[in-house]
Amino acid sequence: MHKLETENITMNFGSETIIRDISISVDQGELVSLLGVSGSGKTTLFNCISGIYTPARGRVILDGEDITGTSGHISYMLQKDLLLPYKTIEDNVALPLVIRGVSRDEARKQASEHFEEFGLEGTQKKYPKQLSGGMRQRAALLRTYLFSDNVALLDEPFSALDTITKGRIHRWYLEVMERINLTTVFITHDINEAVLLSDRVYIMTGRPGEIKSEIIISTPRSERQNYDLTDEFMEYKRQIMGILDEEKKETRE
Amino acid sequence: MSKNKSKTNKIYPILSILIILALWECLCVFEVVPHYMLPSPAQVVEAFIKDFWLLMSHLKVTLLETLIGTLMGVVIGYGSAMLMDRWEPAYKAVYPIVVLTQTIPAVAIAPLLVLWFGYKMLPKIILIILITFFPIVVGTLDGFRSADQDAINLMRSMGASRWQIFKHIKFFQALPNFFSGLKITVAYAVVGAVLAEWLGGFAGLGVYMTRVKKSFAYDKMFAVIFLISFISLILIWLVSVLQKKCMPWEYAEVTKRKRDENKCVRN
Repeated sequence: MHKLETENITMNFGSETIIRDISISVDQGELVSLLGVSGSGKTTLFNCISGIYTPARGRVILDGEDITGTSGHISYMLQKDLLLPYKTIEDNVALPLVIRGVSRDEARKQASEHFEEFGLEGTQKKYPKQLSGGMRQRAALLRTYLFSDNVALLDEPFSALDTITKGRIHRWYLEVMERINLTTVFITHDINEAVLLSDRVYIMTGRPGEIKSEIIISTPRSERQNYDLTDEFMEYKRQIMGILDEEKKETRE
Repeated sequence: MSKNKSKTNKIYPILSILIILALWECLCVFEVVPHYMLPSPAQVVEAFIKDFWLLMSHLKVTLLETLIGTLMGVVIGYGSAMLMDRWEPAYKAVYPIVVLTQTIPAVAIAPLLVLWFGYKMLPKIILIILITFFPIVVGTLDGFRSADQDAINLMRSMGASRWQIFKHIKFFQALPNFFSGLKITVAYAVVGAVLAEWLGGFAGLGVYMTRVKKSFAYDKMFAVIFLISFISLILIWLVSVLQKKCMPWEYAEVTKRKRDENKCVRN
């Protein structure tokens, strides 16, 4: 049984079909990327999975249970960290627990146990604006993790960061993922990021968005130090660019 | 901003006020303007000191009206804003009326209120409510509506209820607007109270004002005008203090050094 699965999800806005027949699956602890150009409906798919939208057709299945159109199961994280500026970092990351009904003190306590693991020690009492962009994304990731240690949806979480910070956070991210064993669906339009971080890459194209193909990155994540400099990495990258190019030609014809 | 800089910033307004006072004093001392038309600052201060206790007893009444009126105006204003944010029909039905109430000048309603509710405190409080609730409604509602939709969606994905979204996002989002509204409101409220007292009453700074006007005691007139300005300033300042207390995140220090420290923690 897959951890999370979507079955033929189709979503329309008015008369326009945004995504069509999307079927993807993620196993426990796996990191899967959705790669595609802007406008291919990746975010719409995320909103269907997280329960903000109810898809026109299809089902979302978590641990064998149909959760289509219901929220509160799967959290997501966006490019904007969406940390609330008026709450301290500890209250921000503890928010999902508070919403679930945990008392504030207990939520803070539970949250504080993870601060070190996420490289956030000493920031508990700070406000978001006192933190750097990279740190804020870590806090947002911790909040996502605390919401549900099952599955997290990450929508271009690192795309607003500068290249150097991004490189660092990628390395850190792989390291943390190794430890916390979070099942993750990751949206990106950055081919490097997709190959570097994922076990599998779904390539999404077109309007309406559909899954064009699936590529398995066979190098174990733990062996990806300086992976982006290897021939293997370049090979995957070429393959993906080939698929995206093909798609472009098709739409032109 | 460093302490020193904020001190020099204060010097300029104090200096300009002192210069104006000095010019004014000169105008009176050299009798450019006859003193029965314009009392000198020194005469105003003298009148203020002479009538100090009387002024304070009237001030007590005016302040009480202001306080009750503002408090009720704020509660009604905030409540209406919440209602209008929650139900679109309420917004469509109530908002035009709220705007309409503000197109009628206070000077026009005040005599009616006195006529209907007599010379006691009630008409004054009603007038203050009418004046104060508008800035609160408009500001707070704007604040509620400007809440980040992405943040609200994220809360929804976490399974948050409407009330939780209000408590964790909208409430805070509206605080700056609320306080801006409150600052305008407290200043208007004092003026509103005085205005209502003018038109009839037994005590209050407005009543004192009409009495000294009738006896042509312009030095006392100026004394009470300054007292009203001063009280308004104090109230605005109090709101600022309250705002700082309620919004500590606005004033949290961000230093470059701290940022760099944070970056270094792990990398």
